[in-house]
Amino acid sequence: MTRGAAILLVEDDRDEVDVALRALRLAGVDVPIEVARDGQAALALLGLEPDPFVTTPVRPSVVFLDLKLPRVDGWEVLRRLRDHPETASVPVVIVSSSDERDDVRRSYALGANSFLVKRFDEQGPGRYLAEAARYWLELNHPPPRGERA
Amino acid sequence: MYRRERGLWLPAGIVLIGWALSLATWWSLISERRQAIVQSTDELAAESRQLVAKAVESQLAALDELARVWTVVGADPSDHWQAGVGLLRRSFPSVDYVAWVQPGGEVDRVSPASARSDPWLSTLAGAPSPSDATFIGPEREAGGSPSLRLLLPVGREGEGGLLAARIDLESQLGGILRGMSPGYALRVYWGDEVIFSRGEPSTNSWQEWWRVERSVELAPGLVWQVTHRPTDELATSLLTPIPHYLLASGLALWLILAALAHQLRITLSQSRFLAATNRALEERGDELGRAVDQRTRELEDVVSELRAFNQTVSHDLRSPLGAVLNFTAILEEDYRGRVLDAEGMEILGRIRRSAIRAARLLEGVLHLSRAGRVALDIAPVDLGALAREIFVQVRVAEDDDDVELVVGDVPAVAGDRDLLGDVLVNLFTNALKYSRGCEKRRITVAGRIDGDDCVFEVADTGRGFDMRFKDKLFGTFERLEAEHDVEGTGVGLAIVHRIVRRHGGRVWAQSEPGIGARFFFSLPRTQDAS
Repeated sequence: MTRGAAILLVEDDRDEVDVALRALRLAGVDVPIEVARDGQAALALLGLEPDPFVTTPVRPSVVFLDLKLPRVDGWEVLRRLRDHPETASVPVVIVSSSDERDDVRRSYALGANSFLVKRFDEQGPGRYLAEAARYWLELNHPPPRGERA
Repeated sequence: MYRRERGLWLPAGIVLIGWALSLATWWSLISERRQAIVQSTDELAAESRQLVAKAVESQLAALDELARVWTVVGADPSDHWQAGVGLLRRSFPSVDYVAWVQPGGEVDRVSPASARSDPWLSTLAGAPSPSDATFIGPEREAGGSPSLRLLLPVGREGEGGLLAARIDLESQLGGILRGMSPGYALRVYWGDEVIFSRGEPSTNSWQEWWRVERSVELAPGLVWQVTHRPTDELATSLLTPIPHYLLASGLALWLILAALAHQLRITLSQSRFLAATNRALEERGDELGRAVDQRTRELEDVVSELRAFNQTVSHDLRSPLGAVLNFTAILEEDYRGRVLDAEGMEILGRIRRSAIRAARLLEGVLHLSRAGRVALDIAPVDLGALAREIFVQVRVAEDDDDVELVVGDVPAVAGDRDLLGDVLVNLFTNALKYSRGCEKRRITVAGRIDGDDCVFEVADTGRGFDMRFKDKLFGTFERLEAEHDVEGTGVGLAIVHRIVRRHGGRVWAQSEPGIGARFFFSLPRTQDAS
């Protein structure tokens, strides 16, 4: 049995988390949001890593994934996600402060669906993230469960 | 370094020993030859002596016989005299004459008669008669050959006479010895007088070796010396030059052997030098290899730091600055036209903390850069004392009194005191941060010698870490906890790693979550202070 969650936000910087949550709230994205503060926690929430505190794995509609994370980095989370049939088709949006070519190339090679570079949005803090969330939640038509997006 | 072998003791020794052997062989060959020659000469001499003795004895016996006939017949049987003397002189041609002397000393008859003129006969008158056969001489008359005179008492008691005879020694000895001992120069001495001589001895003084002298006692008081000496011809035939050739070849051979040995020694020495040079080159190669490895590691460190720095600028440093911008914008949006309330103050606080984080990050980066750049000043360091000193500083800086420091026995090392101090600052700060909130906090410093290394340990009683992530511990800007759970920049352990690596050591860590963490670093003992 799984929990349906709209968004899984994987971000270690509490400021970034707060800005993202505020932007999502202001943009009217009113869906459950799970926050993981590092890669291992994200894997645990997704049920890909045993954790005594996670009894029900989360099945998000979209994952916002930072690359530079404590313990297990974003690429490792992405790889594990894609390797598991249950999570192979979950849309993953990379949100990174890096715009290094290698980082971008590697992310897509591992199966990322989108790559956003963290920025100061003149329209409002975290606005770009909220818009991306709305696209994946409202405009995008996801594949049937268990199949890759 | 290669030292050319100058010592000539080996070839000199070989030459000395070899020459001694050659000389000994030569001497032995010569001596053997001499021995053989002496023996043969000796045999010849013995034979000659016997012949001479026998000849004289038979001569004497014949004269004795003549005297005996005389004694028996008595009177004056001229015919008997003539017959006896004639027979005697035919048997012994060396007998010049035989005379009969009356008991008064008067010469009665002489055969041949021409010998009557011999002055010696006239000296017999009045001389006492000898009681036994007496030899007189030898005498050498001017221009003549040496001769021997013989007096033989004849006749009955009180009415006897004397038989006198003169014997030509040259003729006599010549007859006996002429054909004897060919190749030898023969001399017969009577006292100092040479009474017979045949052949010329070799003039080579070496021939004295082969001189053999034997005495022949013919009668009481009549002793002759017969000497044998090889002539030049014999010496030439006997003394083959083979031993000399052997000696010369031996000397030359040993000289060549010595030269070869010397050359061999030089060659061996050169090959040893070459081998040593090879080894030195190999060692140098290894050294270069190690130097290249070390340099490569350093370059890798630099590249890794550059990459990390790049990431810092693009990520770690960007995030706090982004936060400053974001929250400033939020403050503007949410509090436009309003006085800042508690939330506004919170936002301001966040801005301030982000700015502080950015400043700390910059400081950390600069620190790391310094740890990699600054020249090492290696000197003996008492790490135990340094640990106590640094602990006080760190406790004050972190405003954290609720912790105890235990310093065990630590071996003395050599290193850069300031940089090793930085290592302890970062390890202690780390220990304090990750043990905050735990009970009975204690930091233990220990050390031991392990092979070529001194291994030091800083252990805490904090929350520890998951061993799965041990490889990430010492990476630049790597953190095992989210930013707000444990404050820090992620540079501290990278600095520790960098400093220890620059000292030629390594760092590692062990932990059991909830029990504590143990950080180890090794320093090579080659830098030992003691």
